[in-house]
Amino acid sequence: MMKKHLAISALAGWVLLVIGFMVLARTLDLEIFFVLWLIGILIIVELVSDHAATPRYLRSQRLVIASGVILFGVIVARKILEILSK
Amino acid sequence: MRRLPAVLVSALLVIGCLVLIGMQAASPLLYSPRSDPGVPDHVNPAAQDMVTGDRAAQVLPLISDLLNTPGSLVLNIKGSDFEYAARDLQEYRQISRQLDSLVINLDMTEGELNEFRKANQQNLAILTELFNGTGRWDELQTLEIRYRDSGDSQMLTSITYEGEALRRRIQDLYRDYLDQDQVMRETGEKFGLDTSSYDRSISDFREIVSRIDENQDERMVTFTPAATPGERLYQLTLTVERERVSYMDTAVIRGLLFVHEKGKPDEVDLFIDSRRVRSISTNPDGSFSYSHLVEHDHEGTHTVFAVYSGSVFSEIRTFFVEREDTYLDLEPPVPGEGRVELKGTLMAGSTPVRSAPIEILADGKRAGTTYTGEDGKFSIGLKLSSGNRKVKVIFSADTFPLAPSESAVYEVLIPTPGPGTGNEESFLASPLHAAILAASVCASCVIAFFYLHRRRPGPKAPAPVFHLPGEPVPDPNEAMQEVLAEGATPAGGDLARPGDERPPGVDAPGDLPSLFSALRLAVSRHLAFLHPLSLTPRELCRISRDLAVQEAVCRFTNGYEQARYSGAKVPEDELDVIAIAASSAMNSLEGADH
Repeated sequence: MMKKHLAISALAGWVLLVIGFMVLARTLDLEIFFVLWLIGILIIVELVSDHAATPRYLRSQRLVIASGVILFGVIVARKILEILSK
Repeated sequence: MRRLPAVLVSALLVIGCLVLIGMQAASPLLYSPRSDPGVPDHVNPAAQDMVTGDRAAQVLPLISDLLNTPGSLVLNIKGSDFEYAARDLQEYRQISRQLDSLVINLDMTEGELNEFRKANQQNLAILTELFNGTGRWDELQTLEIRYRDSGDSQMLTSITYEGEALRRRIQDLYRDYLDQDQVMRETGEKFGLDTSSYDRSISDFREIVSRIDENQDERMVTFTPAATPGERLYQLTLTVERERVSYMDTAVIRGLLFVHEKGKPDEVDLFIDSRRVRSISTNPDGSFSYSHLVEHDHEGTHTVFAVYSGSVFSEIRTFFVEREDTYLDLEPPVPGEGRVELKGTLMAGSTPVRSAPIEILADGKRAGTTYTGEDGKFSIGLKLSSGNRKVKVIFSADTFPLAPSESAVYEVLIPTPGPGTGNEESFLASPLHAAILAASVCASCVIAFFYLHRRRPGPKAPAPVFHLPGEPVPDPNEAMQEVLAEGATPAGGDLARPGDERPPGVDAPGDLPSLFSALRLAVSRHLAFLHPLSLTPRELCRISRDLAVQEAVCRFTNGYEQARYSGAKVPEDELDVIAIAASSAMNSLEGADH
């Protein structure tokens, strides 16, 4: 199986696992889901990519991860402000 | 093996995430009949029955304990076993706290159970005061024996007066304890619990009051004021103008001192409930007066006496503070985004109650406390989570001679703060909030930038090859041989065939990778380029654009790319042309270096 397919399968499995646990815990939280997805995709991209060359399909993933990191920063800021305003 | 740390870190992160999710599994937030904020018509009878049964199962043991513990506590107080009584009181306090938190957690703040909880809180306060009062009474008994033996009549008088104040207070406590009896007993009977222990506590309490009564009566009979025969019984007299007062009334206490020097003012100490209130200066005729404002005095009888120079005692007078009903008015709350504004007034009859604590309850849970002003009015802005909230305010009247009261319940819809309106404006309105937001976004942008532009650790680049002036320039062919010896084996193309005529310095046209490596090294050395091995054929062509050999270099790199990567068979004569181009370029560079 190609690395690409492995990566897609692993990410889909991780996301399904997170959703499954959230449903079992009856805690569907979009922010938590986003952070867990970001962690998953970060790990999978790091494991799949090679140090000598980056496949084209991973280049766009790196951009997605960078955008996710910025969004994560916004979420953290919102949480801090929520705590401060309490 | 290089990926082992990454795999371990990944595994740890995954396990951590699963543990975090698992920790929330115990507290369901998605849906439960209790947390359901939906429409008023939404009812789930099966779930509600289950919850009600569940609540009763949790509350019943606590109610049973709260009905039993006072029996043991009062019995120990009656037997003057204060060590065990203190332990019982502590246990009673803990169980009461458990009930309070359970009632709030299970949202059982309405109905009979709440009445029981309030009555129990009253009982706890009463029994705590009874414990302290009887402890002091016991001390007074010991002191009385000591002073009687030593013949200290002044101290005996003081003890007698304090004992009188204690007796009246404990009588008041007994009366208050009886007031809670109905609620306690009815709740116990409703749940089918045994209330005999609670009944016994009432009879024991009555015995304590009777015993203290008898002792104090004996003390009063044997008490003789320090007066000489032929003179008046009391050298210091005292009267209270109004014997029944209520909140914000004034109890005017007047007195006359007979034993002072005429025309010279003296100081008389005034005691209320055996606590010294103040020293009062007498008038030249020995009269004095004091106006006591009833504000934080408890409901019941209060004793008053005066003492002159520590030895002349007045008789004991009393006044009774009556409990007055209060009215707590709450104006319709004004909801805002994530908050609500509350205003109201607390009145005792027509008198405003000042500096009184007002507790705000939202959905039965305490959401805040505020205090009334001089005019009895209060106002507070509270932050509340969005949704339908039942809001009311209560006045518990702990330190006032007033009845507790609570306002009407208002159902308020707290709107969710809009994502792009007031919320964002408030973020920008506060410099701290704006700074936090900006710092977080900047930090995440920097992290994202470094993530995109980072270099992953790869094989170590070889050290750049330089030669100092005067040193012999290494032969490019030797360099090529070194590269070959280090393992740069030809990766493609045909192997050299013996017997072919080749330009000098070129082994075979099929050994193109070696030629490329040698040429790359030669050009890099000539241009002092630090990382020769990183150059691709096109980059090699591009960096040699300022050299005289650029044409030869580019001709070689073009041919080399075609031979290596096109996949097609390259004719022999063309391979020769490529090799000659490389050779001529290297020779030119060698000459230039020399």
